[in-house]
Amino acid sequence: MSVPAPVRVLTVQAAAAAWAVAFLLVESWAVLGLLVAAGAGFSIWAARWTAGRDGRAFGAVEECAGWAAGGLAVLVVLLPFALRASPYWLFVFVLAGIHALMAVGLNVQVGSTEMVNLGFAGFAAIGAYTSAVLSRDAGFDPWVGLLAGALAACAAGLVVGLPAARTRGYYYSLVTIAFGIVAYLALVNLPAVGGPSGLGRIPPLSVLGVSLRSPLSVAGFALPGQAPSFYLVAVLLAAAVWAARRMHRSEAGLVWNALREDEVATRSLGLDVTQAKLWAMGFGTFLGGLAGALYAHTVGFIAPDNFTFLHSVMLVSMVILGGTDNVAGVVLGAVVLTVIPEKFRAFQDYRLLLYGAVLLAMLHGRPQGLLPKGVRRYASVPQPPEAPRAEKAVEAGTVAVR
Amino acid sequence: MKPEPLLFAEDLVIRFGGLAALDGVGLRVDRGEVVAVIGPNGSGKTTLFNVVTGLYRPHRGRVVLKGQDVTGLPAHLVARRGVARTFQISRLFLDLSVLDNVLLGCLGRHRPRWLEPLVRPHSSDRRLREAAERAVVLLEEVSPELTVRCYRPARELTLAERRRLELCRALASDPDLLLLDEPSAGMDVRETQALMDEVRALRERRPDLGIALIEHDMTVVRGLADRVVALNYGRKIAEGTFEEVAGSPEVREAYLGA
Repeated sequence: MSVPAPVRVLTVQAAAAAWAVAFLLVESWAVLGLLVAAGAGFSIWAARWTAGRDGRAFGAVEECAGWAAGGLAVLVVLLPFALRASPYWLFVFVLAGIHALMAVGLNVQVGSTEMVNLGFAGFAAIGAYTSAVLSRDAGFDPWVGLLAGALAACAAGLVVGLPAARTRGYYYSLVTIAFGIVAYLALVNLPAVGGPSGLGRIPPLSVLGVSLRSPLSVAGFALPGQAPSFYLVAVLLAAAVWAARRMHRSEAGLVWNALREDEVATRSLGLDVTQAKLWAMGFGTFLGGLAGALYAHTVGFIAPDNFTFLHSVMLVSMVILGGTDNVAGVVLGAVVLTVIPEKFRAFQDYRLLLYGAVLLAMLHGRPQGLLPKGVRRYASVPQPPEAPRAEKAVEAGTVAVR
Repeated sequence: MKPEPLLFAEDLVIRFGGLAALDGVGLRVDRGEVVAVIGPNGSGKTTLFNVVTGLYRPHRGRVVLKGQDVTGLPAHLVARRGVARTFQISRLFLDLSVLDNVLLGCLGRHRPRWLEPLVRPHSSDRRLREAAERAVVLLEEVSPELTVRCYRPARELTLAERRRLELCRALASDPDLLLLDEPSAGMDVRETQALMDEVRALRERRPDLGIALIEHDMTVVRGLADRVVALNYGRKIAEGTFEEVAGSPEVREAYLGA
């Protein structure tokens, strides 16, 4: 029996999506247990069924990436239809998309350059508040606010980045923690932006005069008011993923990686380390600010408590869980860490414990994350054939010192 | 009249706390010349390299490269003017592939265009593709064994292979001046011999390249260097051919304490 690889990939995708919807909608613990067991069994089977030509689990997904991306796009379009009876879950996915947008931005710092930014929520807050104030109080169009929010966060990133670029490792993390806390405290103590109670009645984004918070009716299906936001977030996330992957695949991503591996060597090659760090800061915080502003207009209400240190930790957990320096992995991490805690809301007192446990477990058991980063391959340089030289390499007299 | 030196450093002084790591040292390297810097541990050899490449800023003295004063310039700008180096303990990008290590060397000579991948994807892709082609040609030139493993992470290489890759990465920027910091450290006799052959082949391929190397293995120094400079306590104690320096009583005292 030989089913073509694209068919296998699409089948597994569809089955996984159906399983996920069932997982979300089922409420009985017993059925949920069965579902989890079935899902585990299914994924073991699916991993083998879609193994790549080199035998790697799920390898076929990478081999027909175009089909996989198309399948994913169709599933994303269909998701609001499947969840139309439960707007709550659709909203959770909107949130997951916004988190993913932030995580993609954060990944440039945490994953590509290993600048572990633990104050990222502060930048999202700048984006959210800028956009909210501009559209609510100054009368600008929310779309203008969205862009201004992203740019403001980007500017803040560069301002913080300039002194922070001189530090690395823990010191950089400390600088960003300090920034996150300062941003939070500033918002709490600024009556002009509502202080601790935040800002309400933030106008929604609208397309052709139609608010993106109004329900949608497509082909006789009535979709809840969250559907338009869901689609908007999906489109923006797709654009961000495209941009982040382009950066990763270019010399920019390569220089960022060099920075992660060895800063002194990078400088000695003629590469400007400060400039590279500032671009990583600017690119990441732009996406962070955009996501923050998107949150403000989607929910309509923001407060300092939406942008705490805990949110920053959550974002870093998402990057590490999904796979540092792997854009697809980071998105997966954000979705998993947004949806799973919502599903187990009954245990929400232990949510922090979950993030901590996930971080520890991943760092010990699978530090590369769910989807590890791969080696860059260049079309102009085919994999050279393994020559019989391989034997010569272990000739007597050669000492391998590691 | 002598031609303009490739590297001309004079009267370099740098202090760490109260200790003068360099105390008035000069170094001259001409095009096509190999200069060995020797001296006991802690005599200031690596510090001299770090000052020349701009990693440290000297308290006094100047570094002139191809007639231009580069004293105090940040390391990446010195590198862009044609200085490449290797390190005593190799500093490869261990999690990146062998090819990417060399590729990064190719990228160093010009300024990266940060927005190009988003604004003009095709020209960005093309440049990277071309750089990858150049990198693999270079890799082939230095070591066919490494070419076969160009998509393996550098972490998997043996010590001798790592040094070879580091040399290849340094050459990728097409430097005018190459600084090698203890290239034979930790190598056995056979590997050391291979290294010497490599440097000789390199001189034939690039007759204009100036090389300065720090070395403890006197076989290597004798076999490669046109001129030897000996340091002790941050001062130059001897300079000349290998025989001249080896015969200097001060050098003998520095090494043997007698």
